[in-house]
Amino acid sequence: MVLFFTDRKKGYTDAEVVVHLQRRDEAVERWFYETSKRYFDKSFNEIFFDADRKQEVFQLAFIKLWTEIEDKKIKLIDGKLVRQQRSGGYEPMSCSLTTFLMAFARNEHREIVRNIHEGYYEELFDSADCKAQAVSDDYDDAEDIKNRIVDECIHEMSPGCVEILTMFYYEGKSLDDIMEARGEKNTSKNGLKTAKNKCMNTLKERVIERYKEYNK
Amino acid sequence: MENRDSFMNDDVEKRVIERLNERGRKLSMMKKWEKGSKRKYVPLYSALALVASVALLLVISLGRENGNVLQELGIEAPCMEAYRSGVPQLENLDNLLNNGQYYEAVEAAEKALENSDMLIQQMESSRKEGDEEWEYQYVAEKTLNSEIRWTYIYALIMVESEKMAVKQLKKYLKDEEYCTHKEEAESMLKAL
Repeated sequence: MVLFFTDRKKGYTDAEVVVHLQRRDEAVERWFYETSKRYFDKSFNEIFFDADRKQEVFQLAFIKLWTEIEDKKIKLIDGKLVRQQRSGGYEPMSCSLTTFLMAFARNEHREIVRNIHEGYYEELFDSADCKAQAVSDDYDDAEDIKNRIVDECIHEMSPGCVEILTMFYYEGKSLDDIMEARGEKNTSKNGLKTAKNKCMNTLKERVIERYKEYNK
Repeated sequence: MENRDSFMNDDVEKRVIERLNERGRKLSMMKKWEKGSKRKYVPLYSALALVASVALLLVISLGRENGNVLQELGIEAPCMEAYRSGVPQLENLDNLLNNGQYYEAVEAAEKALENSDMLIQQMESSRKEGDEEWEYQYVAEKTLNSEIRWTYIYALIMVESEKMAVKQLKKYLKDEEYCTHKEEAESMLKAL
């Protein structure tokens, strides 16, 4: 309880957090993570099946917020924090980063509950398509836009796909290792291979599709 | 600007892998911090528990004759810093609290609360099912409202308006979903 107030005073403002995260300052990244975690633990009162599920919700929401900041969907203009709207334009943020985190967490939680009911790992891609988001032309450079489009499409992939692709590409695991790590979620090595390729191909198609829409 | 079409032809897979790796990097860092923070806080929590036990014994033995309820419960001044972007009123509220101008802080918190209550009412009357943007804004405003009320309660206690503080504490605890300082509020209510 006391820690929350104390840390806020000794810590960083939202604007400072955004600037430092965009510079990839690890000390601030860590401070922001720990502060957000404490806030989340105190404020998120949904019913959880277990602590792992709660941690999963927090991590997904935090990664989304962190990525939005790094991709400059949330940024500082003339000393004010702004966030990109669905229309493509930017509006001043009327609430704090932690409040956004909580909103993201609620969405992630809803999504997880929905996926459990519908068979969490059955569908490799959920029904949420990468909806085209207009990006204003006076904004950023092409590299930022490409990264943002890819990040958005990754975020919209099913948790199963993200897990398989992360294990394969980032962790460098073999298909055998992935099968072992995922337990009974994949019944055969061939099935896993097909799933991995399908995930990657669908992801690439969606990225291309969204990029085409942006270029229209 | 570079030729945008080139993205479609050659570097999509490369970019996708790069961003997947970036996501993986973030996850690894989070895991590392998680481990670090658990290690870091074990001795801190033990020390805090010890200090809290001693403090509790002192409070019980000395009674409430010295110091107010905030000191007894170890509650420090709230800080609206995390909510201030785009709301100058809240910056003013922070400044008043920091300068010890508690009567002015009570007035400022009342006004901020009134504005926020009105905004929530307006939002509720324009609710659209499944509107994600509305949902974000609503949760944001409800959270902010709860934090302002907490600050208001603090300022009320500082000006010894305990009766009003009790009323506000009850109101604060009603909206449990957005109640960040639930345990503190409950102890405060008991103590008052």
